[in-house]
This record gives sequence, structure tokens and C-alpha cells, in this order.
Amino acid sequence: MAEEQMVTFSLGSEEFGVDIMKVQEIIRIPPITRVPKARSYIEGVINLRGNVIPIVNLRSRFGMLAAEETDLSRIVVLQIDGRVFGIRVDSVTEVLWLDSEAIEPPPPIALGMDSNYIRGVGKIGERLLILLKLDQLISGDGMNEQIA
Amino acid sequence: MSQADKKNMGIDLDDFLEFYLLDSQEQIEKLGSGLLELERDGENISLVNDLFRSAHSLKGASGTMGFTPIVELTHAAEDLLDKLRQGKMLVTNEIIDVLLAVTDKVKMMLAQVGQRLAISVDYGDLTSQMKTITETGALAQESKPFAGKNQAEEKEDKPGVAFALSPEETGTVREAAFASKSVYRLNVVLEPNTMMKAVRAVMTIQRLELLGNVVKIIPSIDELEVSDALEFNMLFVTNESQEDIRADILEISEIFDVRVMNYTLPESDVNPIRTEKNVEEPASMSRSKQANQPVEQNNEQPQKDVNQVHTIRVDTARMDNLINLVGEMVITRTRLVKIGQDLQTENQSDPLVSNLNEANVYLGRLMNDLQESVMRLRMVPIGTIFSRYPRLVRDFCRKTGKRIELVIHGEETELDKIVIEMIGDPLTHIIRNSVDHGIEPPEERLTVGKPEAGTITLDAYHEGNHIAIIVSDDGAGLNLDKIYKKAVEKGLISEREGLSENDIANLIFLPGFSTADQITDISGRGVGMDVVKKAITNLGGIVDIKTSRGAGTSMIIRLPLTLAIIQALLVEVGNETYAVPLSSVVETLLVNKCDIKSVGSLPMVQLRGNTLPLISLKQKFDLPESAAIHDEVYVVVVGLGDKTVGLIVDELQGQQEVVIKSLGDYLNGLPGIAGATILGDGKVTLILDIGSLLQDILIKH
Repeated sequence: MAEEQMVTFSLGSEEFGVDIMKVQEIIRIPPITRVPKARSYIEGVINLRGNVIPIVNLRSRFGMLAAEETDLSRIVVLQIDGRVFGIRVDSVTEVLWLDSEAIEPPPPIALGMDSNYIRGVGKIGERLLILLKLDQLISGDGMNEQIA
Repeated sequence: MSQADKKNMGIDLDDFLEFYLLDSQEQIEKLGSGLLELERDGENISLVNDLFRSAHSLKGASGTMGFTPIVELTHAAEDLLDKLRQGKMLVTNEIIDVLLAVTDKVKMMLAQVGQRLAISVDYGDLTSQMKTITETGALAQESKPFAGKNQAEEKEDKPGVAFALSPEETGTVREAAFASKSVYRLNVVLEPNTMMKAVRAVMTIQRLELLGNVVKIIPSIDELEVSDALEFNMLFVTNESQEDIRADILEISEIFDVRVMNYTLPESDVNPIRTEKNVEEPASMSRSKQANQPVEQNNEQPQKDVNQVHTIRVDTARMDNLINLVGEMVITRTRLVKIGQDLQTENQSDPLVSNLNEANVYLGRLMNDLQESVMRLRMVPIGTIFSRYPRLVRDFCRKTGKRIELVIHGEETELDKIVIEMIGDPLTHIIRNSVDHGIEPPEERLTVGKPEAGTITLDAYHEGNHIAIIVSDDGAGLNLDKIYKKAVEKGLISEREGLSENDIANLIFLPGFSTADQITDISGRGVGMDVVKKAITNLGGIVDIKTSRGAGTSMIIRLPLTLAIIQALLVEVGNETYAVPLSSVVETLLVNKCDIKSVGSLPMVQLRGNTLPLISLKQKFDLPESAAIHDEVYVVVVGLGDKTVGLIVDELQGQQEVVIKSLGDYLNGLPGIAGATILGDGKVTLILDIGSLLQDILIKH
């Protein structure tokens, strides 16, 4: 029976999961430098041990209302195709194994957000875990538009 | 890092290939510059030996990698060089030309290998050309180097082998003659394709040692190991008869033939008084003689040792990573210092706190040294690009019949690797111009009383935070009148403008001067000089020109030592800090708000009679309005070329050296942002792209 290991985090009342192999590290929120003229969901850039990496505000990306930064707020640093970026989340909840059979395709009317970002929905007992399609998160709808 | 690791997994061959390419390119460079040197100093036998070795190792490596065309080409070149070093041929221009052509061909082949393509460069004509020279040249000039030098020997040894003997060896031979032993010259020919020639030679010597005394072997065992020669000569003292010796040697396998001949000492060797002179002459003919020539070799050998730099090759990505980490340590140290200071204010008496602070101070010194050393890693001597110009100048001289001497100074001056890579082409352009249009033909030079050969000087040296590269020639200089007229004609300047001579000379950098039909009109110069200027400006450098009619022209290029670090003016706007490259800052002003007038939608301010367009960074970047409102604002006047614009900012924070970092793939190409840097407090600060800000304003107009 195939299993996948996930890092799960929360945004408001929803819980999300990302493939653990894509997660480079999880850090507290450092000072973020705003980048003018970048797309609205790019919150800015941070200094990750000498490298400048962009941060995606997931709330803004998913059209949710902005929330105050709390003690639990974190940045999940992801590495996809050798490129590194961070996503800002309300809190990181746990690391868990998910049975492949417990993953269902995304519902046609996705939970109020673009289904382009959703790989599927995982069920753990009563909990529903939204599994994210990561490569779409930062560059999904064309990098060129951001200059406009 | 992990990305690089991934790439390396399982593709070991690629690693070898990279290594092979680097190594081969080095050998080819060596060959190229060595050949030019040989052209000037054909007698330099140790140089020929160096070239031979380069060709040989190139051949060997290419063979291992299976690049047959390179092997065949270098093999033919090696044969030719072998003839030269054995003194069987003299260095001629023809030989140098052919061998240089070989280096060019091999370079092309290596380029194809580098692109993972099959080698398709045609080389057959070159190999056959070399073979012809090797064969016919050898016949035609066979005895020439020896003529009149070793007459006695020439009579005895027909193919001409010079056993330049040391005084002791001469003594041995002479003693043997007194003891009525026979002195023979053995010519041992190996079978074609003999694999381990040196081993055969050793076996031969071992056998002969039982029968008598081997005085000398040419070429030496070491040389046999690397050369393709299928025969060697020995000087042998014995009581045995010629036939016995011959029979004995032929018992060794893979020996094709042996000739045993009588040997008498050359006349000069017999006469002890002339020994010294005799030793000197043949030394330029065969390498093995060098061993006996400590006196003559002395001035060359130590020099070679100095030139030998002990280096390792490191991937630049690894180096950048190291530099990053060091930068990060510097930032962490500032945090430690802060903690130490905070602790001190709380518990002044605690000895542990003062211990910590002491350690911090020491750590600071170490960090400074470490940072400096790491930065030096990126520095490369400029000689690496200077070395390509002798060839350029030589080829041109051969083509046009001009005589030009290229003098190079300051090859050891170091600057950033990236700058080095990018300055090569503009420099080539400038030098080509000097050769092409600056230096006059020999006849013309003679009529104006200059030496027949022109001189182009290439110089580099440090100048504070910059490096200066100067290309000067003693040619005709620029025809300023013509340039001026042309510029007026083209409408590039108006006639009323009072220009100094220097201003006029600098007109050749204007784009309008670069069209082809003007080459002949303005004494030639100006072909693509705007391109040169642009390339240098892109590197953050400046270029100036000094010319004097009839006496020559100098191009002075000033470049920053490194592109990775720039001087920046930090400004504050709407609670954000931005870095403005200091190279584009003209001045800073304090402007009263009521002096800012709007023209169209654009704010302007009067500055010394001219109107200066302004950009409000706050509006441009949609930054929040800062709390405090002042009557006066700071304006940073920035300019590129002759276009200037003022940036309205809240505060000036001062000037600082910053390390430029890329914003990465996701955020590339944002308008107005050139990159990012990390300041001492660890925060990312964006660097403004003045060029794109200026362009913005120009388009709006």
C-alpha cells in the first residue's frame, strides 16, 4: 500500500498538505522586503542565509482575507525544479503519512479557490486535507504578466 | 548546491570531458603562445621541447577520450616538432604558420566537443601539409644545423647524431682509446608500433653493460618514453667485436635492426682547450645536451619554476556559495556583537560577558580577513586575456606587411573573473583598430622619421578601487578636423559648440560614427567604437581617448575591480530602503516642495537654469506616505550618459559597499529594480535600476 509523507499547515480554518520532499525547511517570519511592481501575492523577498528568495502570501494567492501575523506564523521554504521560494502560512500543524487511497481528485467546484492549485483532497478520519499542486503556486499563470 | 549534486550523479563521463576540455584548452593556449615565442627565438630548444610536450599530452588525452581527428592532427604536429627538437630542421615561418593553423583547428574541434557535437572540422590538408614539411624539410635541411660545427662527427655519422659529450664523458671515451678498446656508435631501430620503447632501450643497455660501458644514449630513456622516435643511438666502449654486439642486441625482441659503427671523437672534443666552446654550440640542437649544460640552462630553468603556479580548478558556483556563507557569517557576527552589548548593559560585572565581547572582537578581525581572502578567490590575472593579442597582431602583420611590436605590461594585475571575460572583445576591437588604422605602413613611417616597426603597448595597473587598461600606439593619431567636420555634417553636434580636442576625439564613440561607409573618411577609426563604449559602460567602466597628431593614440579604460560589489547610496522612501548605484549618482539636492512644478503630468524642478524631471519613488513604487511631512525633500540626481533625472526620496542614509545578488528567476525583469543586496542587519534591500527608470521618463515624454 503506497503512502505519501506530507507536511500539513493551516490557513484560517482550512488545512493544507504539501509533499515533504518539496519542503526544504520551515522558518519563522524574518523581515520581508516589499518588491514594488511584483504580483500582488508576492509579499516580498527575504534573506535566507545569504540567498534572496521570494515569498508567496498564500492567503492572498487563494483570495482569502489577510490575517495578523502571530507567534505561530511560519514560512515553508519549498524547492521545486531547483528553484527556491517560500510560502507564508498561518501555522504548521504536523508531518503525517497519507494513504494514497485516501486521496480523492479535487471536487469540481473547488473550495472557493482555483482548482488549478489543488492536486486532490486527502481524508484522515473526519479531517479534510487540501493537497496543493506546488508548481502552479508561484508561476502558475505566466511569469510575463507580472511585469504588466 | 543540491541541484549541482543531482546533475553530477551518474554522468561521470561528463566530468571527465569537462576536465579534458579545460586541460586541452590550456595546452592549446600554451602551444599558441609558445609558437609565437619560437618565431622570435627559433634557437630556443627548451621551448621546442615544451611545445613538443604540450602537443604530446594533448594527443594522449585526446586518444584516451577517443577524439581521433585531434589525435591525428596533433600527431602530425608532434612529428614536426620532433624534427625541430632533434635539430633535423630549422624553424621557419612556414612551420610556425602550419603549427598555428593546427592550434586553430584543434580549438575549433574542442569547441565542437564542448558542445557535445561530433567533430566535423576538416583537417586532412593540414596533416598532409605537415607531413610534406616533415619529410621534405627534413631532407633539405638535414645537415644544415651541423654544417661546419662538428665536421668530424658528420663524416662518421651520416644521419647526423650529435653526442654532445660532457667533459667526463669525453674523458671516458679518450681513456678507452688509450686502453685500445673500441668506441662504437650504435644505431638501434625498433620495430614499428613498439609499445614500450623505453623498456627496449633499458634492456639493450643492460645487455651491453655486460660487454662494455655505455657512455651515452640519445634520445634519453625519459624522452624515449614520450617520443615517437623508433630509433635511438648509443655510444659504447667495449673490447668485443662489432658482430658480437650486433648479434647480442638482436636477441632482444622487437628490435628491428642494429648498426654498429666506429666512433671517433669530434676534433674539437679532442682538443681540451676548445671543449667549452664545443659544448656550447650543440646545446641548441638536442635536448639531451641540456643535461650537460648547467651553465646555459641556469638562466632559463629557474624562471620556469617561478611561472609554475600551483592552482586547482573550482566551480564558480561553489565559490559563490562560499562567498554567500561568509557574508552570512558577517551578519551573524553583528548579531552576536549586539547581544554582547545588551548583556553588558544588564550585568556589567559579569566576567563571562566581557569574555564574550573579547571573543567577538577577535571574531570580527578574523571575519574581515576571511571576507577579503574569499573575495580574492574570484580575481584572475588579466594576462589570461592579454595572451591572445600577440597572435592577433602577428596575423595582421603577416597579412598587411606592417611591422608592429606588441609590448605588454601588467599581465599580473588581477580583476574579477566576470569583468575579465567581458572585457576581451572590446579590447580586441581597440587593438584591431590600432593595428589597422593607427600604425602607418613601414614606408610612411620612415618618411616621417619614425622607426619602421610600430609599437602598440598594452598596459594594466590598479588605480584605487579601479583598474586601468591602456592601449596606446605610436601611429598617426586621429584626424580631429575630419572627425569634427563629419560630426557637424551628420548633425551629431552643432557648429556653435565649442569643443576641446579631447571632446572631439571622444566623438568617435557616438553611434553615428560607426557606419561602414565612413571607415575611409575619418582616417579609419570609429568602426563600432560605440559598441566598445557600450560594453565598457555595461561593466560600470569608462573609456577615454587621448590622441596627438602624428604621435599616436591612447585608449584609457577604467573598470571597477569587481562587478559583485558596488558602491551604493542608500536612500529611504516610505519606510523602505533602496540602494542607488553610486556610479550613476550625479549629486544630491535639498529642494523646497513649492519649487517643484508640474509640467504635463511630470514634476520638474529648475536646476542651474535647466529643468530637471523628477520621479517620485513613492508614487512609482506605490509606497505608503510617511508620517512626518517636511517642507523640503531630498532629490538624488542620477544620470546615465547625458540624461539626468531626479529621484525624490525621504532620507539619505549614506554610502556603503554592497554585494549584488540576483532576485532569482521568479522576480527577474521587474521595472526599476536591478537586483538586491543584504545589508549588515540581514535585511534585503533592493538596488534601483537607473537605466530603466530613465527610460521610463523618456518614453513618457
